Amino acid sequence: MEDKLTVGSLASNLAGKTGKGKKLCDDFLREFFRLVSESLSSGETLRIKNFGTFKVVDVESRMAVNINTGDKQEIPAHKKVVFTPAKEMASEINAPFEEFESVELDSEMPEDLIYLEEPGEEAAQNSEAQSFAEDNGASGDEQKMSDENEVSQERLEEGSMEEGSDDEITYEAYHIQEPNTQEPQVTEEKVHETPVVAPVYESYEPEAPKSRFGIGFLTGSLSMLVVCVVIFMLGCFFQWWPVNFGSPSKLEEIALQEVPVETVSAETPEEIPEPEPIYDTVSTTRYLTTIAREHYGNFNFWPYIYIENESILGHPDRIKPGTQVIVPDLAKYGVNPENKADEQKAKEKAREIYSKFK
Amino acid sequence: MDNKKFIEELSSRLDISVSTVSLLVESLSKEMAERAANLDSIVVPGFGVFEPKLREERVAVHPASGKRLLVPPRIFLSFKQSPVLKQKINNGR
Repeated sequence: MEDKLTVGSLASNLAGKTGKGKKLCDDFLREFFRLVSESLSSGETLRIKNFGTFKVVDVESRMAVNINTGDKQEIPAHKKVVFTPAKEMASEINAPFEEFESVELDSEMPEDLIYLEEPGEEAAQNSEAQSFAEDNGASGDEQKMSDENEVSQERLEEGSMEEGSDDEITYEAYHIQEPNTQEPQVTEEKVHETPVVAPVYESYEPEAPKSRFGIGFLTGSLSMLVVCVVIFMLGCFFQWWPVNFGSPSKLEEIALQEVPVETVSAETPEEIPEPEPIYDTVSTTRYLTTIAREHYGNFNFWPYIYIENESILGHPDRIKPGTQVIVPDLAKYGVNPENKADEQKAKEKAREIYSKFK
Repeated sequence: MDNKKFIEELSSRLDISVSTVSLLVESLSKEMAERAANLDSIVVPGFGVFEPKLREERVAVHPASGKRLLVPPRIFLSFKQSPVLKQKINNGR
């Protein structure tokens, strides 16, 4: 890597490649470059097939400043040689990167999410949140549902308590007169919530007499507001509880371990004799394409790995290093890596996946 | 000078067949491309340096549509002439 090669070593490599003698290759190289420079000095443009174009261009005179002395001096007009590699050569040079193509980015995506080398804590959390938001998989939704259910159950309990005192106005009164009587009855979370709610309500109260609306309407809307705030806070509390109290690394572990387990358990009831799933880990040097090439022998089949793990993955080019993915058996999707038509299908799938993130 | 003339001239100077020369040129370009992919630079005394340069991936904005694109990394093969060659072409006018 990053060596400096001389003509000698180039000649021996060339000899090994073509099977010609080293002496011949050495002579050839010397003559090759001598001829190029000769034809260039006669001012000709030289195009060599599959290699590139050597061209002599004129450089206009310009002023330059000597950095050490600060003297201005003129660089006279001269000629220089420009080399442009041929298309074939340029694409061969870029062979390691040929599987990449320009990807359109989401315009709202902050810069720090794009570079995965050093994902900040916040970026990690954001992507977590994003993957949840984009998530169509059952696992994420179920979790959310259960959260909401818990919240709504508590709401019901609260409601039944309120209904004991019949209508909303009395509920208000109940709140104002005896704000503390509620506390012993409620669950642990509410103990935290009620002190927060009460000041909110009280700060609104002095404005009440100024309003033109009827007291009934006002108290009604205020009580709605209070109820909404309580729901929102409980929601936030449940949703973000692990984020606030668990360390970020712990959170990642949970996300990494739990989600795959859930997806597996969701599928196993239908196909019980399923073999042990193969896991692989994405890293800074191992992408879905690398994994696909290793397991299927063709990198074009990466979309099936993506689809299998859709619930835990966001943008296919911005997978967090260390993410563990399940490598599905391609027979499950009815495709064969040897089949050309299936390869086209896989490419089509890749396009679909990318188009989702436009 | 075009490719055909160049190879003919080389073959007459080296006294080897045209097909051998074109094979050598072909494999030379392959060899150089391989080396450039590894970021090895090739120094030819009296001629210049072929130096591959790695351009990292970057975020570019499409000027017309305003969309942001993640442009993949790319290697460019740059050539820098040696002072000897520079003198040759400037005196040859």
